[in-house]
Amino acid sequence: MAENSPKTREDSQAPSYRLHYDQSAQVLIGIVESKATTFVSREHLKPRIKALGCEQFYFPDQSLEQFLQKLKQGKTGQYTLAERRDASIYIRVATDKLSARAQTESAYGGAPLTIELIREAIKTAQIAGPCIDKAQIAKLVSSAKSVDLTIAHAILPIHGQDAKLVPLVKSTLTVMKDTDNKSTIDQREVFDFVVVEQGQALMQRIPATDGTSGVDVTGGAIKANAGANKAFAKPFVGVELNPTDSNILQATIKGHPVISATSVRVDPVMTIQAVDIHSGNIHYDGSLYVKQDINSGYRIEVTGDVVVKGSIYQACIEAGGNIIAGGGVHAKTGGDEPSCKLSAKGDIQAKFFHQCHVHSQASVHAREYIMQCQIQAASSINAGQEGGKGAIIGGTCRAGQQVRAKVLGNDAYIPTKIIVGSQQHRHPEIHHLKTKIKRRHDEKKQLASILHKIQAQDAPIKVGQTTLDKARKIEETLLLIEQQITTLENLLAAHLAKLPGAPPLQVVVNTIAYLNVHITIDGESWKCTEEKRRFKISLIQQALQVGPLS
Amino acid sequence: MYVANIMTRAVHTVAPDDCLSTLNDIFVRVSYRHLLVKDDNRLVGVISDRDALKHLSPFLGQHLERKEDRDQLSLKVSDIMSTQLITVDADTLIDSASILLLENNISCLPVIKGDMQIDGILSWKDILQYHVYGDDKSKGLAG
Repeated sequence: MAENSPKTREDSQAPSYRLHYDQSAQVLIGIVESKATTFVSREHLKPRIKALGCEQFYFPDQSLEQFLQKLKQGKTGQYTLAERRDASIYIRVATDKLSARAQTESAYGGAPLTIELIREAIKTAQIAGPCIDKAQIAKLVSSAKSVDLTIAHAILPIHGQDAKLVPLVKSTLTVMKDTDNKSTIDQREVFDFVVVEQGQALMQRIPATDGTSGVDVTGGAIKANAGANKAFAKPFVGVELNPTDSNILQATIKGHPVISATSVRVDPVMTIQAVDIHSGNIHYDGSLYVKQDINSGYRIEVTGDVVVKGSIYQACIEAGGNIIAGGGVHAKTGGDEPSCKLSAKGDIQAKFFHQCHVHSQASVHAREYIMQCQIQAASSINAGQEGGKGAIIGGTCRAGQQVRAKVLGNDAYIPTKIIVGSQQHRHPEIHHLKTKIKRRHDEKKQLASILHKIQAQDAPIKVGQTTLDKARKIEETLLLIEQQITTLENLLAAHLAKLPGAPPLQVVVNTIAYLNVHITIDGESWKCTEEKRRFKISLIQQALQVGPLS
Repeated sequence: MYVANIMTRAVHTVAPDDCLSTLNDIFVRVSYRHLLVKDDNRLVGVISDRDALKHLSPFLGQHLERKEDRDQLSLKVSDIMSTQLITVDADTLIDSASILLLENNISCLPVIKGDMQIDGILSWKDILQYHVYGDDKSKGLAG
């Protein structure tokens, strides 16, 4: 198809240019035949381009201006002004195959983007049907402009659950009494001591599950991580596996169950009325059940639990299992040696603790208060979490992982120290790794925010005629950062595995914290400078974060 | 490749209390355009020649120079430095640093270690040199 320059008054002497549409090459060509004798502008060209049906074609930058320049200068020759372009689509699968994006170019006078074209591109990119986002496909079809959209997402795997060891009995049965109530409560009637019979099921093992595999956007399987298995810890003492169900641990003797995280054992039980002048000091290989009180000045060493229905008065107790007191633990300060010292490999639980030293390799639980005590727990210190006033007032409480209380300090602003984790950075290499991980997470956050902005534009970004795939580059960089994080976290895990357990470090205040409460989490400090209600403080990526309780 | 491989370790720093005239003297003498602001051995800001120019009167040294123009020279670095810092560390990927430069529309990134201690500086020129010439300063240092 060709178009001769029309004869107008201005150019009636001789046609100086022609426009020609080359159907085989699908390009619009401008032919300069001689130097223009009159002024020719874009406005002159427009109706002629339209007459050739090329007005929707793709005109590279300055193509018409350059042609007009050649015409003005009389540089004869053929110049490509525009080209007919069909709509196109390009689908890219992310490196991790967790998503696929489509970039489209709209049609310039050519065939528009059809659902058939999109389907063909999806087929070529081998995108799995279940992963396709139909709403995004509809957007592709309906959009008149070039777009850049995520059209498929992987179906993520559901990872398996770790095996669980679930106790089927308790060491003590709590008789529920409201200690918030003003009425008198008999401290000797707070719980019942548990004795199990021979053959009684004590602990159940729920095996790990395999999980469900996912599907990446190309239909490949994403393997689910199977849950970690866990077995009952040996040696078995007073217990055995059930002959018909190896997931059940049962008692072989009548006695008191001592429960740990990985097993349960049944101890023979010594039952006495009280620890006093009649019993003297006690050293026993098993559990001890005291029906009344443990009186001042006595010393008890047992390999199992110590369960006291009454109170403990200035005694020293060392237990291989738990120490559980229905009443309080009373002591007084003064002298070089503490008058009351409790030490247990398991939990230590009492109605209240007063001016005593307590050391647990698990957790410490107080219903009413912990006052002017030196408490140390490898896991957590809990005050009033199962009812009671739950106050920690004065003294120092150190916990490996968590301190939870209703009230910290009091309205007399008694200095109260709460320490979680280590007070200093005792492991500089771990601190260094944590700092590095934090930086990578910060970078990841910044890049993800940039990526989000770019993806929200939904349109390709161009430099000149080159379409930039910024999103892909950022996605790839994010993947590399992820790899860095994984490597660093593996290193950190290897370091932490050499240390006692290191779960999240936190202080939770259910009601109020008063002035002069000083909290230190893993060397980072916070001081309560005004009365503060219902909040928690966590150490997140080496920084203390104070937030409200949900 | 990481920022450690291409960053400039010799960093010119100024103090927050330095004044604009000091800055002006420095920028006249050196070829780079950014100075890091250090206080108590910690990075507290970044200042560019443009930040300094913005506060310098064009009448300085001219016969139209006024007292107000001269007073500007006593402005402190802390009054005009940028404190919204985007930083990287030696282990940051070069691609990551490049994206941060491009998308935040800035031309240099302070490289820090530990608690905001200055480890170096990375400019778009360092990145361009790396991409064009494959310049790896760490190889030079190792050799």
